[in-house]
Amino acid sequence: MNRALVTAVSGMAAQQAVLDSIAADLSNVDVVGYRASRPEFAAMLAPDGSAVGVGAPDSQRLFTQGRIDETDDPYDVAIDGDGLFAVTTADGATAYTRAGNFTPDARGHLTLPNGAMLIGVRLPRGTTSITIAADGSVRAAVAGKAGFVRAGNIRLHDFADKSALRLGDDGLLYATSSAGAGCSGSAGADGFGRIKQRALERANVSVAEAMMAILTAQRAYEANAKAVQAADEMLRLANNLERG
Amino acid sequence: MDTADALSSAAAGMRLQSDRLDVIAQNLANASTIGYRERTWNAAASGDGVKSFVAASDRQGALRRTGVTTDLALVGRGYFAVATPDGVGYTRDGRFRPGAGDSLVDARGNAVLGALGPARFPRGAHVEPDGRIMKNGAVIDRLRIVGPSGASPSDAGPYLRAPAQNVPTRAAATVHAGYLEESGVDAIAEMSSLVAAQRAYEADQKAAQQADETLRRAVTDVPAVRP
Repeated sequence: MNRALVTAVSGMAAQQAVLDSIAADLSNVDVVGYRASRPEFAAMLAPDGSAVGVGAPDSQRLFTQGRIDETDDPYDVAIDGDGLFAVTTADGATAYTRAGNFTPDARGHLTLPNGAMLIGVRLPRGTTSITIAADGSVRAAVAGKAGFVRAGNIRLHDFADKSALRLGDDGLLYATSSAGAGCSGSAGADGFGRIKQRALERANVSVAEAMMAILTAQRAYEANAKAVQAADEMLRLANNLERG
Repeated sequence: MDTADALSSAAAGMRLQSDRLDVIAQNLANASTIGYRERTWNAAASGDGVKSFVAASDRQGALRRTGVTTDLALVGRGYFAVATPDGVGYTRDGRFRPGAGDSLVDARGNAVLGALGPARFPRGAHVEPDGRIMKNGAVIDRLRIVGPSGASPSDAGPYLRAPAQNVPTRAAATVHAGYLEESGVDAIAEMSSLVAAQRAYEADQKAAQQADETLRRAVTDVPAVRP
């Protein structure tokens, strides 16, 4: 019965952690390129190897496609399919992201709102407009010159296990040893998605699914609380055995 | 039956219901655990007394669409085979992902088994309903999906183990890629079992008190009877 108590309390803690994870996803529902997380329940082990309750869930990041919205900004880029943009952060580290809300800076780099620069693209001075093809090649129209000038190539990156990438405070993903070796390729080839200009990929969070998950977690929490009550009641009865 | 027997069988009944509550709590705690097989509790005569028997049920969990190509759900009897540090483990939890060196690993990082050792799952591959791993129209490997024959596998933590004498046989389950199998726990049935266990425990407790009262009377009242 003590075992039932421990088990039921672990179930309550796990549901609480699920609610926290859903709350984090919902608060990022409007963040471009945000990847939702999925709590990973795992049956918990007792020292004798038998299962006791449920472990507090770890989160696994989900890399399903988010909705792609068209925009008017030629510097907005979305990936339709697999792959990540590689960017250089302000302190020189390489990070990865699905967010494509770039703006050109004074030196011709495409930068994210947090200051990270897209690797592989440098716009020439005097660029008036750019065209990004589905394969990631970037061409710029420069004031005073006829035709287009090549301005680089957006390459896409992938990891053996993307879900093990670390989410930094800046919202960018960083390589970890458990994510495995990275690989890169051209958009539209080698299983990578295609690049879409004038488009942004929204967070892959479904509000309706999150709401359903909240309801389920609440009810599951209640069910575990009932099991706690039942175990407590049984212990009370056992203690009353002697009174007669 | 004499009253000492009545007392001990009432106590045994209380112990049984408390075992039953342990199982119910275990099921309720795992009502959201992907691929969890509901544990069923049964009381059966064993030797002189009654013992609890716990088994993993075969109830199919509902399928939930995730759209993740390496999320696999089984429909029908059978388990995925996974290489764990303690030997082959069996699970219905299909939250797999690509691992290092074209492998496929489960949520705990253990390699999922294919036809010959760890399954090969190169980038861009997908799994067919019959368990074949395909890439660009070519068969790469086949997932090992087994249905332990005979008795239910014994319960040891997150994985089920097949008893040594049971050679796992090929299962006829179909694989659904992009789906996960929800926990097989029926929360409503568990809640009604919870109430039933509580009431049965209460009844056993009353019986124990009654037996105790009878014994007390025997001890205090019988010597007071004068011929």
